[in-house]
Amino acid sequence: MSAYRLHNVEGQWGGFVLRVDDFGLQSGRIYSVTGPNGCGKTSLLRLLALLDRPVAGRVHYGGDVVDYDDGAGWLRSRRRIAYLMQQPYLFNMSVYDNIAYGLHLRHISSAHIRRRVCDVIERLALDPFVRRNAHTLSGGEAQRVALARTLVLDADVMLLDEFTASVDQQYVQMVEEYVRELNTECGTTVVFTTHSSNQAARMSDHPITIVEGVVTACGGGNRR
Amino acid sequence: MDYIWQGVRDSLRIITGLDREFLSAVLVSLKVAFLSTALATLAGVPFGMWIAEKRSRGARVIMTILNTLMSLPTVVVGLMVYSFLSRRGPLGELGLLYTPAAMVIGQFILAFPIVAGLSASAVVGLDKRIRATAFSLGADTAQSFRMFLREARYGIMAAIMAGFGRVFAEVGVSMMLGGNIRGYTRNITTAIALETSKGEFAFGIALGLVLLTVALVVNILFSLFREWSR
Repeated sequence: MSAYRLHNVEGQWGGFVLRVDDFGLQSGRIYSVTGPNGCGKTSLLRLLALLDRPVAGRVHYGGDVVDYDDGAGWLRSRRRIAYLMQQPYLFNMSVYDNIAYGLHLRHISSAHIRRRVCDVIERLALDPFVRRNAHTLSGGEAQRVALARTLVLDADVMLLDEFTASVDQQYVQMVEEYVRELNTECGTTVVFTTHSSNQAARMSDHPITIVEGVVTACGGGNRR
Repeated sequence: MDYIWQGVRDSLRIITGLDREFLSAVLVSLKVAFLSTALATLAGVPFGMWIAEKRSRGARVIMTILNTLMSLPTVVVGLMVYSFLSRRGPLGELGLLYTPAAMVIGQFILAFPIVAGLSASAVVGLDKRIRATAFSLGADTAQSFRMFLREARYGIMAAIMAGFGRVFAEVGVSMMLGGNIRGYTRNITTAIALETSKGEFAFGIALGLVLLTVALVVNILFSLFREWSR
């Protein structure tokens, strides 16, 4: 089943243009996106997160063409996707409240929120600072909290922009295992960017390569 | 020194005895200051946020004007509003001069630049990723704006408090636009000025103590709010 299909899509951010001729992603797979700095990895994730509207082409998500003018429909689609920004911001509130924020937006019951937040806290070993204000955390701790805030959403698609870049080495394996488990047990489609070819090989059998703003290769689902 | 201590002792007697004139001045002060601060908040916070979002030269000019107006002398505001509200002025027919409403108008003009200017500063200093992060987690435009407001809460609360402090302690506007009418527009500061000039030192000290107490209470409430919203 197709998670995404992009037809002749062009995204523009200032002077930078990202081009995707014909590109598909299958549900339930893990894709790695690699390429040099500034090639457009983050831009591709922002397009897939449906946060930025392309200047040309069509984006299909879950079999339907994304209608960016249909506010309610667009929001519904966006809420099926969890996106971890490359430099996420933690809100000036407790770690717990940060993690629960996205679930509150989705109007999930309090009991369910508590259960899911506690589960992800345990999985990512965040217990020691769960009541602390998020602004008092170290860089590595903050990255894990931001990751927890994304993973807790239990979304159909997870888009992770350099998700272990500032995570302490001892936790990298734990985080990777959790992401892989969400993929195998819940069928979550995962797309992540990385500068590490080892991590790309370790986590994914479906590499996507971007060179100078053009998606040049895609494993699995690319028709070219 | 003796007469100062005597004044302090007498002032405590006035406070605990709940003197009617004393209570009236306190209530007028609180009522007018709260109302003018509330209006300045409703207008100043959105205006400050709007200015902070703009990057144009015009916005920078407005910001400079707001910063200048923060130190506007109270008697100048009093004089300006007086010229509009006096019988010969363009709004003279409304009959607002020497009423609490005229005091609210004057105090609003004093508080607005403070609330707007400090709110703008609070918002400019915020992290640019707040709304983008909220969007990335599934927020719509209104929800992301609410989160933005939430992140600015300490700065905006400080702006409102500064506005309240300015109007609660001012005397020029109240005197010129309220007229210091007993039981109607006489507030703490105008009463202190009057009673001290009459030699009623204890009454002035009693009202001064109330001014300080209100300032203390407002600060304590702000600290509690900070603790509670962490």
